[in-house]
Amino acid sequence: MKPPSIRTRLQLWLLPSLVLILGAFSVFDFHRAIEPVEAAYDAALANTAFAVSARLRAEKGTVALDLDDQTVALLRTDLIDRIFFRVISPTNETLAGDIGLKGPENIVGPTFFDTMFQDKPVRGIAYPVATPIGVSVVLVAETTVKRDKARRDMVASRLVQDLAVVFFAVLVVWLSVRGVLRPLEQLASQVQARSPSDLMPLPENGSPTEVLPLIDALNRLFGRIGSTQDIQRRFIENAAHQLRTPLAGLQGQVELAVREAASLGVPAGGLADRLSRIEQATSRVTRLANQLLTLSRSDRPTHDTAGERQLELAELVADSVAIQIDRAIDRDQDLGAETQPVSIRAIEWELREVLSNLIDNAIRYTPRGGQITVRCGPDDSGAFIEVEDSGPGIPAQERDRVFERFFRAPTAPAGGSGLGLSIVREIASLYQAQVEIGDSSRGTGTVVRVTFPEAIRRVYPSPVADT
Amino acid sequence: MRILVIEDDPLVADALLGGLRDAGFAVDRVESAEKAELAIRSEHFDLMVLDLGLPGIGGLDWLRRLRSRSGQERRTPVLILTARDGIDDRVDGLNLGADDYIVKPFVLRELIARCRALIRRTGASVSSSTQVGELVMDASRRELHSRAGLIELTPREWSIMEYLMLHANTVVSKDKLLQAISGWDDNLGPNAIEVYISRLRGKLEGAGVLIRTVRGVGYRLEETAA
Repeated sequence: MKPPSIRTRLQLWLLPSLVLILGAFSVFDFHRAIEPVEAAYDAALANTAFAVSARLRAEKGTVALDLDDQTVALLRTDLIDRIFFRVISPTNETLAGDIGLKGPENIVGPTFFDTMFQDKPVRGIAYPVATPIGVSVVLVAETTVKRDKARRDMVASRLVQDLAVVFFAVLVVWLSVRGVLRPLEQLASQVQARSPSDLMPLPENGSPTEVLPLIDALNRLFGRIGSTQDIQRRFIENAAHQLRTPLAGLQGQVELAVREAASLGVPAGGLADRLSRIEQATSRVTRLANQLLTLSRSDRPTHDTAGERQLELAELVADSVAIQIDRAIDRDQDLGAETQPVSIRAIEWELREVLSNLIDNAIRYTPRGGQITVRCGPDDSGAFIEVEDSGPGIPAQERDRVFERFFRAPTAPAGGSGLGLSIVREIASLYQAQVEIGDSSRGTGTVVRVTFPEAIRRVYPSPVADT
Repeated sequence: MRILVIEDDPLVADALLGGLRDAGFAVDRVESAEKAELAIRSEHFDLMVLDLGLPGIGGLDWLRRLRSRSGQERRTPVLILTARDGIDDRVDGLNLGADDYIVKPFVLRELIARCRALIRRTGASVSSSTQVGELVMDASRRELHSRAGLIELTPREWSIMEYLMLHANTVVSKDKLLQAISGWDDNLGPNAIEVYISRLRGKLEGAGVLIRTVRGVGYRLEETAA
């Protein structure tokens, strides 16, 4: 199960406790508010009881109540509640009032009580009065209509108020949780939006102090990953460089040996064949070292555009063709160019690698006597580089796989490394360029086309021949 | 022609010496810039092949010192050998006065061709004769000789041929050839070059060289395989 988010956690902690505290507070608050009202009503009851008690008279060993009907009527008058009373003599006789009304027994002072009378809840006071023959008790009680109404009104008004408080409190909590978490969410989306190779430190300014340690830790991590990658890149680069000098020695020695064998008249087959195989192996190892070096170097962050210049593609194409022309001549192939002026902003060696790998592949996979044409020019959306050959072509089902490192088509001739097209794609991706493999328009053969997007395309007017 | 090879790796140096001697050069080899310094003080060389990854004084540093001095050896052409193919190294080397560079590992055949081209280019201003295969061009007398005898050229054909010979074994663009004959006629188009090339081909038949067309790129003068 997914662990709850910080937002959920905060809300789980804050909201119930807030509601609980507010609830307890409103109960307490209600009691405090209702107390004076009840006390006022009780005081009125006590006044009545006191007034009645003043009418008690001791006479001839007994007590008498001096209460006429008018007074009783006055006593019982109330707008809302019904008032009951009963006066009990020390000998427990009812001197006046409602006979069934009962109060607490054995009281020492005025005592309030709640009871039922005539099936109605009543609130009353038992008021003891000392007489020469003992304690007489005056009971006065009233129904609780007023009190209930006061209570209800109080609850109603408090409830609205308290609910409003709870609502606003919850709203504030929700908003502040959201507000507090915003920097974290921004950080998350910032990190998420990055390309995998983007290891630039995250900006620290504008972030709250609590998020800074996280940003700091992330930046340190980015730094560490970056330096690990740097170390790795440097290692591969150094290793490839270190390989080059001995390879140069080997290459030269083998060449001399082949030549010496020829001049000594060593017949074809045997030693001469072995030497030429060693020569081929040497150039394979050389090529592999160069390609590994290229792969490690093209593993740069996309944003690192230092070294980019405006480059005329036609010049690069002509140069790349000139460099490889001897290999094509050796194989009796017609290697040529068809260029239109267009320039893009790029790092020169990267484009040279794209061209050299595409041309190398074409020479390698095209049979003797074949034709290879390198093209460049403006495209609807930018600029393109294209190499067309008259080789056997790449079956549709293998066209995705040929970009994998070290993948070699089952029909591929010996000598390839399987790195050429992955280098092309790797470098193309640095420029958001598309690499597509298609069929040659001449029947058999392959067209590999690299299309650079508009953002880096600059078309210049055709250079005049005499400039 | 005398070449000084400055290379510390014995295997590479041995191959260089073998290859260059086979090609008919007199070759001396030293393994450090310090020793090269001594060598050029006492001897004359037509070309230096300089490895950049030398122990002690680096190749680039020494080249910078060499080029900042005046004197005859200052003008000796330098071909740089480097294991690093970074653009920076290349640009540094060429800015400091190297005349060409070649990245390790290299094919001996190509290195020898580059050495010849360098000597031809830098030597052309000094000596007036240039040779490609059996073809000899005498600039002072404006004559081109093959083994069969004198080849007659028109002034424009001469200009193109001179440019091709000074850049033998490298592909030169039509634009460059146009520039070589500009001043003769400003209205010449690339098609004119094709016409001159085809006439030159006719005149060079049997002269041991050929002008190869590199489709869409340009032309290259090369010796025909013996």
